[in-house]
Amino acid sequence: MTSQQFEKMVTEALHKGTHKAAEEMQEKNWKCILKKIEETEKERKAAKGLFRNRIVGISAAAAVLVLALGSFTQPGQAALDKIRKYFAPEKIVEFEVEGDKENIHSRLQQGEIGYVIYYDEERYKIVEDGKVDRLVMKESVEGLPEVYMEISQDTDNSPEDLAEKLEAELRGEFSRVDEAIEVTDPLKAIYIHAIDGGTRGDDPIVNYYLIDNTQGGTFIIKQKYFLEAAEGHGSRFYQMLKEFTIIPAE
Amino acid sequence: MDDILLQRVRNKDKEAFEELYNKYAGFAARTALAITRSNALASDAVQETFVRVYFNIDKFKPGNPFEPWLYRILVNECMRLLKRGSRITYVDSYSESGLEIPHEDDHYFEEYEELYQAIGDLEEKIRIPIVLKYLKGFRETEIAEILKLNVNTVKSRLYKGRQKLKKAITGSLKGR
Repeated sequence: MTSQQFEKMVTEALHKGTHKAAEEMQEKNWKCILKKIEETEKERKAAKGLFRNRIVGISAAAAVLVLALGSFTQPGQAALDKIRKYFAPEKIVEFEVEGDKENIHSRLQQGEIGYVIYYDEERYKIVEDGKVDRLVMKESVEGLPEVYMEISQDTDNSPEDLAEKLEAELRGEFSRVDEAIEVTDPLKAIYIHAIDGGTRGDDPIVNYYLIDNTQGGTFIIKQKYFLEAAEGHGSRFYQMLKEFTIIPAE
Repeated sequence: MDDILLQRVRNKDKEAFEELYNKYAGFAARTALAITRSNALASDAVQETFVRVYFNIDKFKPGNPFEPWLYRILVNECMRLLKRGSRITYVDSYSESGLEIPHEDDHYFEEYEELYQAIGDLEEKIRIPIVLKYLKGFRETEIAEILKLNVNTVKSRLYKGRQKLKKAITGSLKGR
């Protein structure tokens, strides 16, 4: 048997082996695709309405601070001194969680990579490793899926470039990855939302907020929680992000 | 022709999207079946792929060939579902679909059925390039682009795949 004859046989085996099943699924698949598209369009329309109602723009504090500190490369003592002027070490922040308003005692976190955030210190703690700061539950509950919010910085890639890369990575792990969109609430960023499954309470959710670091790079905020925790941890992470401010480094 | 059709899909024209689906779904389904070896997974992979095409069409650069982009999404989706379903036992549709090969004569039937089975038995990293080349007719450079691999890696995997299939088919012919 020549190579050409053999290759022809491989092609024919694949054609004959898949022909009937492929033909049978064509119409059914089309109906399911249309249904999924319509459902997703409805969800997105509803989500856009929600965003419009919540728009607050970039944090005024962030704008003031960027103007006050100018353009730097690394956060240094001078910048940190100025932070102290603008940010109290603790404050009460009003959170809206599961429809109720709560006054949460919040602590200032000054990230070495050049940001500040107020976090809910009653429920969370921050684990730092110099490159990535991870906000985790103070008291972990055995058996619950992972819950955290991570803050890191990529100094080489823009939010747009990272969005493409992260979307591709998420597609390998999650059954639904929404198209990256620009948001202004809770802060100005490129936002990517992914969920695996979507029917069980423990189905994982990942959100990325990619924030321009104003120097060609990106602050990457990754939130991980699960479907049932969307109204709890998801909502708290969202509220805390409203208090996120970039500190231009010197 | 595709450029005009894709532009209409960009404008969320559902008729254009149906036209695009009808044009590409057949081979996409065959490819997914050959990769996943499961009717259920193949069906899910095709559905997710076209939903993603619809919502992410803006990311496809006009002027580039559409099929490598489509198949990259499809292959990623198949691999994701295979990974996800690795703990679940699916009915092996290779054995089901073998019955679909027409019995023009028994010898002819067995030969193709065994070869199809042998393709299904190849390890995933070898099976996927073989399917893309021999089912869809992609060039090695296109397969490299779809799988994000070096073209020499693709050549090597295709070579290994052919050797294994030849061995399988020769063994089966000798056994008759």
